[in-house]
Amino acid sequence: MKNLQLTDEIKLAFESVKLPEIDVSDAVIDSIRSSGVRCSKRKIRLVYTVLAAVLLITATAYTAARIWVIRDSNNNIILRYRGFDEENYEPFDICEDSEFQKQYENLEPGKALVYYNASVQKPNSESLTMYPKPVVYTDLDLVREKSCIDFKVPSALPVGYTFSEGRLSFEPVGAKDHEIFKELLKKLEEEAEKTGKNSVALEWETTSKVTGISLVYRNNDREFRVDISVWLGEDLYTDLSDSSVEVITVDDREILYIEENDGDRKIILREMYGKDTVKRFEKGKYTEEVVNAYLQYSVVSKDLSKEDLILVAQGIIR
Amino acid sequence: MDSVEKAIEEIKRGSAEEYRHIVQKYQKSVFKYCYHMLGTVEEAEDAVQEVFIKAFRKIDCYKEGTSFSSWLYKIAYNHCVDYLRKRKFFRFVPFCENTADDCDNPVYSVETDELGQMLQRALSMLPHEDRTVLMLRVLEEKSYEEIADILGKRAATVRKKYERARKKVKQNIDKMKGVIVNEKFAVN
Repeated sequence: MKNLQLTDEIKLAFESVKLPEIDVSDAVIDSIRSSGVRCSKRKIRLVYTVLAAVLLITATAYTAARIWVIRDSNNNIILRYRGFDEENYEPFDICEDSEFQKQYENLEPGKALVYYNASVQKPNSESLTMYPKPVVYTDLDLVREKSCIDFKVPSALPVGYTFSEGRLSFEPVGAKDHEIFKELLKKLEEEAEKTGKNSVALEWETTSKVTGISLVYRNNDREFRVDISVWLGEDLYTDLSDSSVEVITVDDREILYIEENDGDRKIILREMYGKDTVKRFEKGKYTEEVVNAYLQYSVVSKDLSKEDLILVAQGIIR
Repeated sequence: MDSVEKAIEEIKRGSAEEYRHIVQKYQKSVFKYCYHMLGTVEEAEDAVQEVFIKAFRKIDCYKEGTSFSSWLYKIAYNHCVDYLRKRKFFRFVPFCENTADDCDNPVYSVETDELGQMLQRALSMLPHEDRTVLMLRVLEEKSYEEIADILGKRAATVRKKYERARKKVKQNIDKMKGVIVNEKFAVN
């Protein structure tokens, strides 16, 4: 009775505030019509911290309007965080594709999903993206053993947080083989045409090679995660329209701090991890280039403040 | 399939005009929510417009059969929190009171009594999430599960937040009432 009375009192208080009538429908419709393409903002995202095996994207000239650069102690650029040039490359937001979400949800951990969506596949593109579903481990030692990557864990955690689970994404079979992908793409296009469906999904096997690690730390219903992966080259492309980015210095190291519109706060830091060879297929032939490899850490959370994220990052740097 | 679902199907096929019906159906409740989160009519109106534009852009994300209003509130919540974070502080903006001279913007005025003003002050003392939980539960009569889905929390957590928020608002309002009573008896 008392509870109901309390709610009624508060409801009465809300009802005593008489707001003016507004109608934003014209403004909204006008804005939609003037912006032209529906769902024009698309971005590549990491789903369950999946690192997609993007194969042999046909080389194009990227001209980004905004670029943030971080450098190492020798003033060498180690990261160029930049937006996509949408004239040259229109990324596909898998988070916004409900059919993909459904297929991915049903996928067995350790497998990958090859997903083809006719409405977003660029014409004459020979690239295909695969989405491995991570395998979850609760033993951090096992995560280290299976990953074969010598990664650091934060040496200090915010009060109340403990390691909860590690998610490992494994490389899809044939991820670097252009011929396999070309054949696969052709089969998917044919299947889409035959069935009349806009999208086709195919389950794919993975190898034992880990391409992505996600360490999840929890404090009751709050969490943060540390995403770890090896990146080749300095350029990291993303949709910048929904985020604010700044370069900050922590313990003499430059790192990126990012705030996304969806509530995520993120810190990105990098360390040199040797060199590797990148194979590209462009204009009908293969080219190879030796590039720097970086071990990239992204500390991501909706619950931690900027200050706490920086502390976690410091714990990785030190 | 209800009328909202039908409209959404049309919208997904490209009908911007169908979206007008959606905006007109939900704008009042979203506006109320944004107003209580942001504190001014002008900011709330801008926020409502942005929320509906974002919702249109993400319409393919909406899963048929789930609550459209919950999905919309998720977008509204994230938008308001982001706006408040960028604003860096929550400022209590006095309502336009009795005369037009008191208003910065003579176009809009918010009619409210003393209780309404105390409510705004009490709400401003709550964290964003707790404020959202209280509003969605009291004004929109959403279930704990629906609110949990909007905030990405567990239903049990939402229930606790609601109880806490409700008590806090009541306590704060009672304190303010206490101040007013004391002033009446102040000795010159």
